[in-house]
Amino acid sequence: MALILHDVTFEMVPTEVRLLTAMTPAGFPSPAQDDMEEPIDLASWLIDHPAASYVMRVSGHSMVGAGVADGDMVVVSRAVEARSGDIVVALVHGDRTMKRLRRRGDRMWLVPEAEGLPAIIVDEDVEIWGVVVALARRYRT
Amino acid sequence: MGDPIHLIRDRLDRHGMRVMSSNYTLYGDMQRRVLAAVEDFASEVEIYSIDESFLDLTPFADRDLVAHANAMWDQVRRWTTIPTRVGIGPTKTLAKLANAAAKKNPLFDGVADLREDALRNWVLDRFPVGDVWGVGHATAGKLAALGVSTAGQLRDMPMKQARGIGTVVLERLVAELQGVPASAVEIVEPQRKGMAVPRSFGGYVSDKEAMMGAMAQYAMRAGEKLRSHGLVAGQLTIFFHTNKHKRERPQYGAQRRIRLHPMTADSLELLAAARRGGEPSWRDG
Repeated sequence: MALILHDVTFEMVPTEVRLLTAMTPAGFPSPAQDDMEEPIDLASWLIDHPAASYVMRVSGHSMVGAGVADGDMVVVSRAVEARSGDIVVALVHGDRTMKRLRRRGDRMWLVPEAEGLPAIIVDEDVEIWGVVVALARRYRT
Repeated sequence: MGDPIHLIRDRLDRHGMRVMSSNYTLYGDMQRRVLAAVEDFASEVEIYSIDESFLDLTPFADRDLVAHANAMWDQVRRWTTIPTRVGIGPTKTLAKLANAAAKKNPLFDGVADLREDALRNWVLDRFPVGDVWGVGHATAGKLAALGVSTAGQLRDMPMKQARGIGTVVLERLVAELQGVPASAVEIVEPQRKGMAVPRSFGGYVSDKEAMMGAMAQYAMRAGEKLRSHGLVAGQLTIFFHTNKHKRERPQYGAQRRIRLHPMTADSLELLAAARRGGEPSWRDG
């Protein structure tokens, strides 16, 4: 079950969309608040550090368990430190892959989110390349 | 001693490239990232070619510049995966020479600071004159005939003699090797493709007119720089952003590219273009 990450070049051209506030602090939709809030620039909301961020398109289904589906765009940041629990892009023997990073005992592991795939211990053959910090998905055109 | 200027050369090595496709768009993209990563470490950045820039380090001169360069190296490597080489010197020629030395001699570990006389002389005496920035094949031949084979020997050449051989260009080069900047003159600039006039504001700018005013100043300065080099621009990119180091405050940044047709070095045209690009990108607040 291969997962392939395709590089996507991006440009930060500000594009604003009106943001509708749908939630009150309590989490319930509030009809009183459904007027227009500040405009949001989706690109800069997804990518807060353009110079150190890389956009990749995901092919494959092996990360569905982590909520990353075939065709999704992910924003991978090299400016943040990887922590246990992060979804990361890693180079394993030079091959690029996406996995969940988990601490087990005193070692870090790359854990796949699909059955039948082994976890990989993070050693000198593994380089954590970047951290998946955002995801964008289209459901239909 | 003149302004310490700093040259950085990026090498897109195979390791860095492996995770990317290889095309020119990508090179441009990586160049932008590298420039963003070095922005915090220099007061001015002059793009010399797609993989080389001169950085003005004057405001940092009283610090440990090797540590400064190493921190910059780390930031570029981290954001872009690209390893760089850094050469530091009081003139551009010496910075470029330092950069070549950083490449050749593993002693420097990627960062060569040639501001100190002793080290500089040591490197210059071992540096082939033909490899000095701006010394062409023909000039190198003439120099060899005079027994000048190292950069150190060229530095010690009498000015008059230098002018006799290689016109005023070689004379300037001798001055640069002595640590005297050839005032605002580009010695060799065959591949100059772009330049930047980045600035930080002392305080926060929340007023559109103030920002446009600042932008106008930079456009003027860019025009001046272009004209002083006898160049014209075909494209202008403006960008501004909020203080990235105050993460708790709301963040915004914008970048616009404006095509200039016909190409120009006219400050007023640059100014108009900057306004065209800047105005729609501004957000109040």
